Amino acid sequence: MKQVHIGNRVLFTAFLVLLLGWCLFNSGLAGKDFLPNPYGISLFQKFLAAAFQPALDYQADWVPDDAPPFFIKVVSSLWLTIKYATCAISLSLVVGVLFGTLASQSWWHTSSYRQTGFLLRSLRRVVRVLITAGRSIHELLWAMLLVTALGTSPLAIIVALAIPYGSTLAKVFSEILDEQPTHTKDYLLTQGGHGTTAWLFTIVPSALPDLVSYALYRFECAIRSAAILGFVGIPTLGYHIQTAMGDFHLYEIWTLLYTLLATILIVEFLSNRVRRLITKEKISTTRPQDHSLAEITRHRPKARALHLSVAIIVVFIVFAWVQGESPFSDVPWEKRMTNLERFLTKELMPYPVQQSGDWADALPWAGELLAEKGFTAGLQTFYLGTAAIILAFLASLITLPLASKRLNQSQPLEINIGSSRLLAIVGAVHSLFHRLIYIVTRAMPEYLLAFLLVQIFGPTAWPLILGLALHNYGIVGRLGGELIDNSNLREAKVQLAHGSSTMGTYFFSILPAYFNRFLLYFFYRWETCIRDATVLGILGITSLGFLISDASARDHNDEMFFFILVGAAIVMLGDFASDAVRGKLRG
Amino acid sequence: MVVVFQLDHISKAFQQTQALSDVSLDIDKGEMVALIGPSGSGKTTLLKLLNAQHMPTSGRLAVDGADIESLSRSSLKQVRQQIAYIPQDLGLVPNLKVFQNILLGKIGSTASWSLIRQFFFPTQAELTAIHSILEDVGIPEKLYQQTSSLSGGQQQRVAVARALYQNAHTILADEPVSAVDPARARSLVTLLSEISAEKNISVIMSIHNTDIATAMFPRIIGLKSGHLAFDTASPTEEAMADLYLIPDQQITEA
Repeated sequence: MKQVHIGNRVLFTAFLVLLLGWCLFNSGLAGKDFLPNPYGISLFQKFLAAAFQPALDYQADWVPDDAPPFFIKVVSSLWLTIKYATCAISLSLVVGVLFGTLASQSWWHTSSYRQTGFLLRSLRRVVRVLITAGRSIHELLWAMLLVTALGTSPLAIIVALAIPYGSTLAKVFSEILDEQPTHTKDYLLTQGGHGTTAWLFTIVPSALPDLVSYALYRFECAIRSAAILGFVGIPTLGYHIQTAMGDFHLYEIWTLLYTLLATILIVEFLSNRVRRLITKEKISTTRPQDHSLAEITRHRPKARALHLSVAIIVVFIVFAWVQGESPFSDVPWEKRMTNLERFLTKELMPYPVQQSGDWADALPWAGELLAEKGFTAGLQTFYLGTAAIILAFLASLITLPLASKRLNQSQPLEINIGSSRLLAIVGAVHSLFHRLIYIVTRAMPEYLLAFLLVQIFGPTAWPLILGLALHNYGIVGRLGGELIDNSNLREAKVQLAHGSSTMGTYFFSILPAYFNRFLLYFFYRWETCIRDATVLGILGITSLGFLISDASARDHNDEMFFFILVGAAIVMLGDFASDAVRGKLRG
Repeated sequence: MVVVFQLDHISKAFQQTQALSDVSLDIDKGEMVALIGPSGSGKTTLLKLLNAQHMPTSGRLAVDGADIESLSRSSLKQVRQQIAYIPQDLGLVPNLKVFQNILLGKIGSTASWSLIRQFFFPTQAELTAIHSILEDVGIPEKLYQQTSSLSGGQQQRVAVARALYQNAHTILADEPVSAVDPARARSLVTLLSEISAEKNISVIMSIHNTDIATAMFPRIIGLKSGHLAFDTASPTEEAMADLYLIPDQQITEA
């Protein structure tokens, strides 16, 4: 009898496939909804065909006389998108640096933590809870809450973006700080250094390139988010995409999509340049004549390009804040505060409590809401997010060997396998093609993809899952590609040198060796997918987002807030589970 | 001769492990001392005791005549400022400039705000002081270089420069040459002995390379299983052989 050897990795992958099936089945895709309807397919073909003819002018036959030219409309909505993203990310940076430091262990361990004990420990816990709470509510939901509380104002939009972004930056900043080696800091402590000073001069410089890198990446995300916030009524790119879709002006949509895509790609390109300026060793172009201090100082390496970039970024941030309508002046401050007070003290309060003033009445109300629809919608959110990330993960694992630059060059992993010129060209072309798909899918916000797909295929779970999966496919693909291109892959090289094909090398050497790293990406994105799935329901599928927007439309702000909290609780659970699993995988 | 370190029947235990047992010795100002012995013999523990990073479990340790057990927190800090410690990994921050790493030599004696100012806006006087120390260690042209761009040997010199900037009377070095080739190791020991002679600084270095130790250090202390095996200018061949003689069973267990 043959022996069967099935490893943990295969078992886990099989489990993922089963889980995917279960989530799809439970999302209502078991029956006729599993396949798209013919009408949707023909609409989709039209939509794709329009990609080749983006509009250069209004598509409508009649446009009001005072409407700005189409080009101006696109540019001004793009600027507004960038402006909100810039203001929000600058505010998030302040929150991120402050809270990230307070939440990091590396700082607490060097501060006078032990002496001041309980109070500071409690402060750190409070900060961590605030960070988790801030992240667990999607920026679109923060925007709904703040717009309801403060009225549609630039400030509400900026703060709505800055709360989750600041919290995410704080979380990741604290993780980056804690990942730095501490031996140099410990050494300086033994030399009599003050804790915070030693931390400032060892941990911070080591972490700085990663901190800046991540902040720049979040700016790119903020542009996507600012575009999407158009869906709550501010005229960023998302707003015009939504109205163009409403009028079925497909050519206009493509112009707006290309504008967003180009912006994201340009920002990514510039971010990479800045990142390189920080990490690149500064070399002096001239040599000192002798070793005197004056001569060495005159010929010291200069970082002009870096300083100039920093100055441009600062000027740009200031310009974004002061240009156009001031975020602070549109509505009188007193009126805003009265609105906020009414919102916080009355409207958010559960309806029975508003009537009786007794908080005990809130419990049956909450129980009823949960039992009636909240529980099912919460599960639906879980199914959507989980199905999306499994699809994205499996698809990117399969396409990675086709996309990797290093596996598809004429000498894969720098090993000569005697491949022909033609094969080398074919390899380079399909690698470029797959990487291009990663870039485009990553650059497109999941909410926008889901919105477009819902409009085309109708409100089934597929558009939401696919929108979420496509965006995450690009992200996991990129992370995996970076892993392959930046690792040594010694065993894989040996296997290639022994005559294995590149595909064989990937599936039997690279994938098993780095499976845990891929899983880290999986769990990191799973947590984000669950968070994004809570809002996708706004597009019309019975998940939490749907209940939230429904309650908001009925002006039942207490219900809206309750379902937002349920969503936050699910995200926090996901966050906690993902953190625990990732901790185990790292360990 | 001025005695800097006085060890009187010093023992140090970490929970179940006896790291040092009944070690007594004196080290004078300006002495060059090599600490040798197999892994786990107590070399690092002894260095960390001299720096008062650890306290002895029993026995008396006096630094500059003062019993370290009786020192207040501020006096302990003052003692530490007199003793520069170079760890095995050199303790340099890779992405700081060389002069910034050297400034950290005075982290124990400079107010934080002043150190921050010096980091970003060093005065001419501060740069001159650092430049002149870099001349002493032979790499003045590296003043503004990023530390990670330097070779291993140059980084060792930065670590020595940082110790000199600290104005310490003693440099403790924990196997600083174990990761470099013999030529670079010799070059660093030569540099330290020149500095020791010129500035009357004591240098106590733990080292695995016994050839360099016997050829280049005027005093060699051998440690075995936490005990003082010998303390001499030139250990005999038998003493050396005995120092590294480990039963086969212990090697395989290790």
